[in-house]
Amino acid sequence: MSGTTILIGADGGLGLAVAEALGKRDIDFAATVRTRARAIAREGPLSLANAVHVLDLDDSGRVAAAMREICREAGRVDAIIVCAAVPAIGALEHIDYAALRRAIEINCLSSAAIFQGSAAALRASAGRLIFTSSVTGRVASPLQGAYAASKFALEGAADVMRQEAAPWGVDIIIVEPGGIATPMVEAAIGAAEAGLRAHSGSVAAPLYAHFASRARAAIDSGDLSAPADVARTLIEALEAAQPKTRYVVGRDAEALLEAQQTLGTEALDAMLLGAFGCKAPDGGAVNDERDERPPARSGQEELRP
Amino acid sequence: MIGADGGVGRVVAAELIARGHWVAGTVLGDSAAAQARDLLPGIARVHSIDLADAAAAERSLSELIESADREIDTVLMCAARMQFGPIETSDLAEWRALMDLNIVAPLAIYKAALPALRRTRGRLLFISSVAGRQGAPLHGAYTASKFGLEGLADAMRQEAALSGVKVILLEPGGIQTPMVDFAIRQAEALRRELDADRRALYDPMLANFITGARGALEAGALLDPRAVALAAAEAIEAPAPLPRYAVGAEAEALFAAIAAMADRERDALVSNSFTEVARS
Repeated sequence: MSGTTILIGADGGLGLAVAEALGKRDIDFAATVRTRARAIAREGPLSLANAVHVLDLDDSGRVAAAMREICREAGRVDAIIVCAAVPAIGALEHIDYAALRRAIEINCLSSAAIFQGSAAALRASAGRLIFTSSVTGRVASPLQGAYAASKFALEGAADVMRQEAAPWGVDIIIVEPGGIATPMVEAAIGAAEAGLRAHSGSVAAPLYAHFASRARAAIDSGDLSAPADVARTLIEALEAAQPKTRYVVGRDAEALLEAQQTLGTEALDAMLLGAFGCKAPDGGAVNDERDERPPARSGQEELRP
Repeated sequence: MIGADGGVGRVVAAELIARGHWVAGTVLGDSAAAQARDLLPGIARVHSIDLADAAAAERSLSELIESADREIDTVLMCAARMQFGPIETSDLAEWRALMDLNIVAPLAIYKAALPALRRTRGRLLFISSVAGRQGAPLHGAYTASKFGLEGLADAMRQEAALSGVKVILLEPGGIQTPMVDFAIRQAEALRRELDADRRALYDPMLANFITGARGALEAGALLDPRAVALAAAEAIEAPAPLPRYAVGAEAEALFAAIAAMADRERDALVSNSFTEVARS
């Protein structure tokens, strides 16, 4: 590789690990971060970048033009690695529209805008564009509905990008990690705990409670992928002579996709709800502690632990 | 029924009315409401709801449901929108509006309907598409919106199951509706209007699509909207409905074909096949 790799979202938990990995391998890279202050400070692994640009993914309408400029400055662009994402945690009956729209904007539409702004540069180099999606882009789970919508959308968009870019020799690659030990997990736990406080009397209360406790247990047991593990896969996708279309990262992600393949929708749903200590009423019972209780008949009569 | 007057919606509404269901519908605008009443003589109520404002749509739909003179068993979303063209040249504001109608509006409908559906242990149906599970060239925005709907509906189904509510996706292949003509017109416009560089890149793909879509139209290979109506009726009336219904031979054949395929084989299939690309 004789050109530059552009790392989008280099100031996030995963982005920093990728910047470090790129730097260690002496790969020339430019980085984008969310704020001017971080671009100026260029702390930690960001100091390894040739250039640090500000790129705000909150408004996809501005991203394509900004990407064109970043690519122009970079010269030959070998690859673009996108690491930016926002979570959205909550039962869908409680998710507000702004949170869903923001997840769609940052996780999908801005990715499309990055493609728009970099397509010409990638054609010129027969380069590659690597998106960090999530296993939640393939398998939705409770409290992750808004996030799943945004990541499923990214996967669908990236599939079509791959089809449309294939004639140019440009590879579009999707990396699908499970849980990663980054500040985003802490934020998700905080959101689930806030959800539990706000909706303690709702049907979804056990979902919030289990989400938080399971995520904490996963952090404590080391079951989550380290950012460096995901970075390693991103570098593999960057350097492979014949890259795969998708890379799955983490035992949790592999297990979920395996379950989806073998179980079918209804059994997978039951498994996922079971992991939250819940059962659907027509699966035999409502919840662990409520086996004998008839399901709610009224919107007012909500289940309480 | 949300979107009772669209190419698919009106056929679904007519089928459900003919089967003796009590049907109330929403459309966009008062004149559309008047037209829908003329078009669907048996419809019990027609209201105008603008789905572009999700919070307002949730309130309006909630009022409509709670003010009905009966309990509601089923809420069915038929309103849809499409966008056609290469991702590279797709207008992002238009794409955002597409995501709003195909993903955010379904969330508004879910929130508005859930209290009533919990009382009746009812059903919520969304019309997705084969594009919700398999993308195709020139259908990037539409594919993203339908993939997104599928992810959203998967989580809805899991969460709503805790109170006995079923969330069901219908996945038709290309349907014989004005959307197909729209896509063909879009493809023709793009062939004329793209700048020279982009035209060189995309013209073969666009020409391929037009040939395929016209061929499918002329051969009558696209799905009759009535097939969607029958699938909706089945999903509503079955004692134990499935989470997903593939609608039509094309959808069934596509899903069967891709089940064991790697991504690049799928890509080759949808890039070379006319009928699979001619979906809407």
